[in-house]
Amino acid sequence: MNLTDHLQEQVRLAAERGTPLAIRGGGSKAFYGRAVEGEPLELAGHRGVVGHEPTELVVTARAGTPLAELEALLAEQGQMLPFEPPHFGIPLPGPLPLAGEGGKDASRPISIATVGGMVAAGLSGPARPWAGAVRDAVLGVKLLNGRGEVLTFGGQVMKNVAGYDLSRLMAGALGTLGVILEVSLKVIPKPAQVLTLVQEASAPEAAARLSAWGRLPLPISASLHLDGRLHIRLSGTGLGVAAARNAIGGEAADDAVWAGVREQRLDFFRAEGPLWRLSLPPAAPALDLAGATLAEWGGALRWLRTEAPAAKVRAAAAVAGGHATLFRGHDGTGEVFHPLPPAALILHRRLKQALDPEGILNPGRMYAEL
Amino acid sequence: MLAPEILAEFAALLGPERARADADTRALYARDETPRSCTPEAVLFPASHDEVAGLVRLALRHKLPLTPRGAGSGNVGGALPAPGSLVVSFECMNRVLEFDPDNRLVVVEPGVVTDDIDRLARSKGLMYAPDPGSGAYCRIGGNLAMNAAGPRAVKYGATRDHVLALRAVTGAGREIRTGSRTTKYATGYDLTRLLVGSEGTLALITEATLRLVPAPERIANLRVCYAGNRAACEAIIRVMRQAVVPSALEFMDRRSIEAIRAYGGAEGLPEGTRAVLMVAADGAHDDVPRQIAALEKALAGEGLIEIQSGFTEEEIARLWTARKSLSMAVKKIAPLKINEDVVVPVTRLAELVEAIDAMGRRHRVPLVAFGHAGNGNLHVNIMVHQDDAEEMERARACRRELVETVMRLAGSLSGEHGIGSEKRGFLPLEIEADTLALMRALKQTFDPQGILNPGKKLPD
Ligand SMILES: Cc1cc2nc3c(=O)[nH]c(=O)nc-3n(C[C@H](O)[C@H](O)[C@H](O)COP(=O)(O)OP(=O)(O)OC[C@H]3O[C@@H](n4cnc5c(N)ncnc54)[C@H](O)[C@@H]3O)c2cc1C
Repeated sequence: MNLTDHLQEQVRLAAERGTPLAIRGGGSKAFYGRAVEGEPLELAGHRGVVGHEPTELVVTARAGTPLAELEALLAEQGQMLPFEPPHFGIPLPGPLPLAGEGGKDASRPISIATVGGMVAAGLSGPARPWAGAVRDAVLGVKLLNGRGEVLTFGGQVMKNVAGYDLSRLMAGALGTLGVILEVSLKVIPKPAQVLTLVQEASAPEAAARLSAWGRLPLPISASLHLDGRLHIRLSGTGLGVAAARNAIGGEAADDAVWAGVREQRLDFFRAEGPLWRLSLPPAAPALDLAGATLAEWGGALRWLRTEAPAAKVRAAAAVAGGHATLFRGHDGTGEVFHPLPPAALILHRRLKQALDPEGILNPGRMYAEL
Repeated sequence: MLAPEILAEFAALLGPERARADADTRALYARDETPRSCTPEAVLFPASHDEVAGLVRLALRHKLPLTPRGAGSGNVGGALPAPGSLVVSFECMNRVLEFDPDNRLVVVEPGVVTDDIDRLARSKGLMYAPDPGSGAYCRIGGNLAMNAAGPRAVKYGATRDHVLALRAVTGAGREIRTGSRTTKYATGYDLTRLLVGSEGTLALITEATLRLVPAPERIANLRVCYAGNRAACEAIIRVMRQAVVPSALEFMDRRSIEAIRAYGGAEGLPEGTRAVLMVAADGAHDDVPRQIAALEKALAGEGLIEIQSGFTEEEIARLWTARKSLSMAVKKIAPLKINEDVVVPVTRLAELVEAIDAMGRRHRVPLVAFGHAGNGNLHVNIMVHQDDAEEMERARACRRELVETVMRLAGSLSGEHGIGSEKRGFLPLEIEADTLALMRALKQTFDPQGILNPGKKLPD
């Protein structure tokens, strides 16, 4: 259903009255970022794939389209989203929940994540360092700015240098710059073969191997290091995968581990307490902090469970050349993302001002100042 | 002429050798690859980030516009001096600040030549993937400003996809760092992506952290001849639909083949060839033949005349002779080429090529189309004689129709060359008024006094 007019009216009214809006897709990533106090703006009803032909390498969907529905549609055509987005809408443990409110469509198991929320959160799954992030796949965006005007950025072509690249600015902006109405995404054909391998490795050993493999043209499409075991996924042509298997070594393992890490269904993620998401140079040594670590993305993404004070975690990440996000296990009132340097913060404020002059769109979701 | 006392201030900052207002220097920097020129007031050659920050502050104080410049190889007037402006040439900022093969990254100043980055990467088994045709001399700052791309983009992406972090000075004189050394993941808004492709209108880039990828062990090529444009375009769609992504997928249309024939470069092209695809695969040694087999399967279909493969350097060079002769062959048609670098969804490529054929006939101007077809990116060259006013008028009408056709096919004005001064007039055809207004607000945010590259990128 196309709810553009209705949503536009809501945003216009809110702008007039200066009412903050809390934008909501499926609510699957409500835990991510800071808490927003505002009138809910519901996008879930604004749904539907508006353009996808089997011959196209692009799909255009409204923001409220369930991510599972989009992925199922692509899978029918042998296609997929390159960045393997996490859904996070799936309760732990147990089977996938049923579709919609109260599962009206009981035949279709589905998560609650929506396409708009996926783009706004900008989170990507295990394939990200090799296949690109959400924002790399965003070709165009239609959105409502903070005045309720409909704006279109980019389009459906792979390359486009007309105007400024505003569509990608929306990926990861957590709805603070606009209400995403519709998005065009690049899709890719599914690989012919996928193989998961596992081998014993300490953290330094894993880093050394990943670094060596990283310089070879191997079809690696995911990595996971946890508890002295290194999982590697190979995706490609049959022969390419077989050859890479010989080069890498290890035992074949269950592919399900990737969905487990992507959806944070592994035991590692179930513990109580703060969960940090560290973005580090892939070869950076383990941070000197007490706690458990799970490493993905060839070492560039580390999940850290620690009780260490936030300032200490952030400082350690910064010294290592990266930054830290407090992902789960916080109350949504403190700092979640790495603080911005003053010059950057000024620019961020001005950008926010340009798109949302009244400051009504998800205020404070990303930073208290935005 | 710049007032001597102001020039002296720049000279005090940069040294007299690197703040020049002599006629020879100014003449040398009066143009890029666009057939147009405008002599700047002075040319500045900063050698460090701090000097760039300093000169922006001086320019702000004296309200002087700046025209950033890499190698001047751009063909849309990006580095064409605005009247009354000072050129900021980055050629003295040509140091590699750090090369970290373990983290597969390199930190460079903007004046480093693109191919030199690739060469450095290859010394450790890595490569810098973006490969614009001008790579031997264009500079990374120009690539970043234009989001340059080459044939490999179909597999590896454009410059944008290889930037981890930037350091820059905005038009307000603010010194910023965007992105981080980690895998393109930044905190806050993605300012990196905003600066890439902004054509020097938002900030001067002083440092870039670039991502490197493993160099392929081996490359192989296919030259595929078709009976017509449509057959080739349909093959492109088949290729892009299957799982093996080629590392190049270049198209030459019927007119290109005719031009090559007339020039005498078509030796080896079989009888009846009216369109050609050049296809490449790269990767691990044993995997490349397998990829080639998959590509051959996808390329076969109605209208196929011949597929030839090349695995050795000599074989590959032989397959490329026709393609390599194209730019010389095109010059034979007429002295001036008006180059449009349009892009449409791959599935609309056949329609575009057909429309181009028809409009060339209707406007009676030779149109030659070739390019990075895997991305839907075509270079459409309108061949004209500059001194023939009537022909130039027809060319103008044809160009307008081309742009309108591209818009109708849900395409874009430019895939890689940028907008510069030459295409900004067309921008309102592609971007709606409200969105353009927002882009202006964005420009205002970064460059409130409008000193950075005025007259480029956005329409007046
Ligand atoms: C023979 C030939 C082949 C080409 N092939 C390709 C191709 O395959 N693909 C492609 O994409 N392009 C191609 N081009 C176009 C051109 O080479 C590219 O646009 C290239 O990126 C320009 O780099 P440059 O160093 O020459 O920059 P310039 O032309 O000097 O400048 C380009 C733009 O960058 C800005 N700029 C330069 N440095 C900075 C900086 N440090 N900070 C901010 N702004 C800056 C300038 O103001 C200008 O707007 C080709 C050109 C030629 C002549």
